[in-house]
Amino acid sequence: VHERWRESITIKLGVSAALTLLVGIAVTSVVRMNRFADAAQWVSHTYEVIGGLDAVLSGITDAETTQRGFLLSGDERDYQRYQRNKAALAARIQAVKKLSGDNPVQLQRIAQVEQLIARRILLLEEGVQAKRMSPDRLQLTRVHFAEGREAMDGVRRGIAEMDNEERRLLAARTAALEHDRFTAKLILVLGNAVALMLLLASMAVMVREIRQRKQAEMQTRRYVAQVEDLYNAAPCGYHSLDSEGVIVQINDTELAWLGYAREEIVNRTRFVDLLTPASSESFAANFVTFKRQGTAHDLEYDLVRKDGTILPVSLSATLVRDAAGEYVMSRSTLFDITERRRTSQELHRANVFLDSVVEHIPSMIFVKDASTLQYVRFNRAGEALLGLPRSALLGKGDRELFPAAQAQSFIEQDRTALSSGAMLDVAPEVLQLPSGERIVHTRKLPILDEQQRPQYLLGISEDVTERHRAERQIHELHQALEMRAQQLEATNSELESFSYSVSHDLRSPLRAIDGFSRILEEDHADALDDEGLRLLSVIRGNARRMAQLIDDLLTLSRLGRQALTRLVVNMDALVRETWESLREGESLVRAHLILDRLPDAIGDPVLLRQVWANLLSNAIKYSGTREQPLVTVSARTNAEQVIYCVSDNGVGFDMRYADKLFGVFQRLHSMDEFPGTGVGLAIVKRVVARHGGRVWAESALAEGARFFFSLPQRPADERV
Amino acid sequence: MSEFDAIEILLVEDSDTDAEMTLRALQKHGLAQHLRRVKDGAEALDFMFRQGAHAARADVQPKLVLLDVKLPKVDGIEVLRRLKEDQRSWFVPVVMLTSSSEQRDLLRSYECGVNSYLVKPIEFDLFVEQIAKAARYWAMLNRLPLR
Repeated sequence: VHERWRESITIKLGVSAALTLLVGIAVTSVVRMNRFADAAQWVSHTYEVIGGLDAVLSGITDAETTQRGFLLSGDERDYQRYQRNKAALAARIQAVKKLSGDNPVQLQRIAQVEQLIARRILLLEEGVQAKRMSPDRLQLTRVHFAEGREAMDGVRRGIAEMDNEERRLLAARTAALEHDRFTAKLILVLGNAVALMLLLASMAVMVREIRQRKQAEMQTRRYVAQVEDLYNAAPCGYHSLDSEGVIVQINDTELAWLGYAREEIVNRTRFVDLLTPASSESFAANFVTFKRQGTAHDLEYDLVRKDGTILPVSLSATLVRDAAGEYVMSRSTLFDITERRRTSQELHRANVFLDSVVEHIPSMIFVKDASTLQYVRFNRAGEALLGLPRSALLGKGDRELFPAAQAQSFIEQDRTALSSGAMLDVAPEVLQLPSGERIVHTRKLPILDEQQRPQYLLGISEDVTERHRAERQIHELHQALEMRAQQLEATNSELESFSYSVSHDLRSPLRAIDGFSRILEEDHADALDDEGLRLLSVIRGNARRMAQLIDDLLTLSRLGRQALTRLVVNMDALVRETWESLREGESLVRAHLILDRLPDAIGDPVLLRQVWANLLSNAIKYSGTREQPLVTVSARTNAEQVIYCVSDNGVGFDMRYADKLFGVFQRLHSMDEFPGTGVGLAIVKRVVARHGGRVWAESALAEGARFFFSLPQRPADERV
Repeated sequence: MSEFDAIEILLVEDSDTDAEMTLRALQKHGLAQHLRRVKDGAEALDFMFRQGAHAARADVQPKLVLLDVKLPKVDGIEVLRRLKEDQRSWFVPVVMLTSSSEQRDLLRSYECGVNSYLVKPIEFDLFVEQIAKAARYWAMLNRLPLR
């Protein structure tokens, strides 16, 4: 701007200087012209004076000549001529006098010349007088003539002097005139040149300024376009409302939000018509306030798009007034707050959810203000535990709610938790509450603000009275159990060493009995009669039976101690294999086996083999008396278990004693009928029980027996 | 029976009764000509390593050791372990004899490198047969085959 101002001044100065110069030149020219005219007049005046002087000289000469002529001729005509010349001379002298009126020196000179001429004329007159008196003889002295010549010479000198003076003046005037003309030319040329240059320079400046003006204008236009683009493409909505609330300006962004064309809105639609009923109500009220106050800030409205969907916006506005302070229009800025509203709704939902969680947590939850340590929040469980409604708790401190010592302890806990910044786990404490003595386990945790300063103290108190009681009971039970386990372990290990000894030490004597009986039989057969030999064989038979009993008992006892393995057992194969080995062991087996397809079992293959061996050998044994002994193995499955069955067509048993079948040493038949230790079925029962199954039997006397055992489909916990 | 003349068997057995029966079983099969019996584990080790009371014995290891599991002083399995660990005795076959059918004894014995493990049957005839089978098998394995 400063630059432009300077340029405009430059142009003004340049042009005015040029004009002034031109005017000066013109004025100077006029002045010069006048001076030329004067000078020319003076030159001609000088020429006139010179001419006048010539005329005076020739006049006096003419007067002399004509006087002389008269003197010679005496002719009156000559005299007349002389008289005329004399008069002309006087007129010529008067003219010169008149011309020299401006020059006092010349005037003086002409006065001397006039005197000399008057002297000469006087002399001439004397000649005329002399002629007249003596026409035949001219009586004139030499002196007379000498005086005449002398006066004439003086005239000539005076005229010459004057003539010289005039010619000097003429030369000087001519020179001055020449000088003036040169100066005038110079001034004219130089002045015009300078004026021209000034004009050219001004024009250059002007051209430049015009160019700059054009550029500035373009820049302004670009800037306007930018501003317009900024207005239209801004990431927020802009609009302006007139005092009636009609939209007079709106930017593209807001139009795009609304889905309307500009023509549909501008000067046609009131903003309030674009709002939901609820929003338009609040807008109506706000608009009145806005017009009074001149600003509106962050007002939330729901816009209705052309397609009927809702767009939540936040509106801020300022008011444009004219010079008189009258309302011109509003300038409103709108932000799309869909996301903000969604977030806040989510936050609200989350808060409601959290509130509900806090309310329903069965532990007491409370929040204290970190600085005042007054309760600001309590949940339902808290009200129940303290026996007070929250209205009686909120805004209160511990000192108002608890006995002094208790309150003091609580406050100290609070301070510890707040100063450590970490969770404080308070050891369970006994509180005297309206509901009685309760054991409460509390944890306190400071809740920090953004600056990591404690703002609240969160407390969670659990009523552990019942748990404590239960824990004490569990502890006692546990101790009792542990004692029993120790006892059991001792018993077990005793039993183990007992059975070890049994297996070892009880068998040796039996072997000795058998061995030495045999040796006696071999070495001393001669000394014994038949009865003696029979007795020996009775001894040996009993020894073997005793050994069998011991073995069976040991097996049974081992079953209780041995760990179970759990594998998938192919029962078909197991039954077949066991059957074959039984047949190998006893060559007299006549029984026929009918084997159904059996489902696999999960269990200990070694122990299950024992089960099959015992059941099958029983079946063989008790069907042995039949013509065609038949053993059938089958199975059926239900949801939880597989039930296996071994049936025979043997002697069966009396169902009245069915419960005795599986007891140790329980036998329903005499040794003579069917030998056995009475341990086999007890083993079966124990093995099946340890697999989580059950055994039972059905029979009618002489109609065969059916023995069942079940195994769970999924292994249950091991049972003894 | 001349091929068994050179057989020397060490029987480690504390019970005289059992020892007598074992002896009888071996005699029945002509395997008892060069039988030596010791009564406990410690003596068995002395014998095998030619120390203590047996320091002066000839430097020839028995062809077979019949070893009872349950023994006074050092038990049978410990004796077995030491024999099988020692350069002087590891090559001698050891047959464990026991009255019990406890599985843990069996497992421990095989871990220690026993050659055979025999549960003595109650029935004498069976006992005689099994002792003889085991003794002959291991004793003969220490000789060149005859046929």
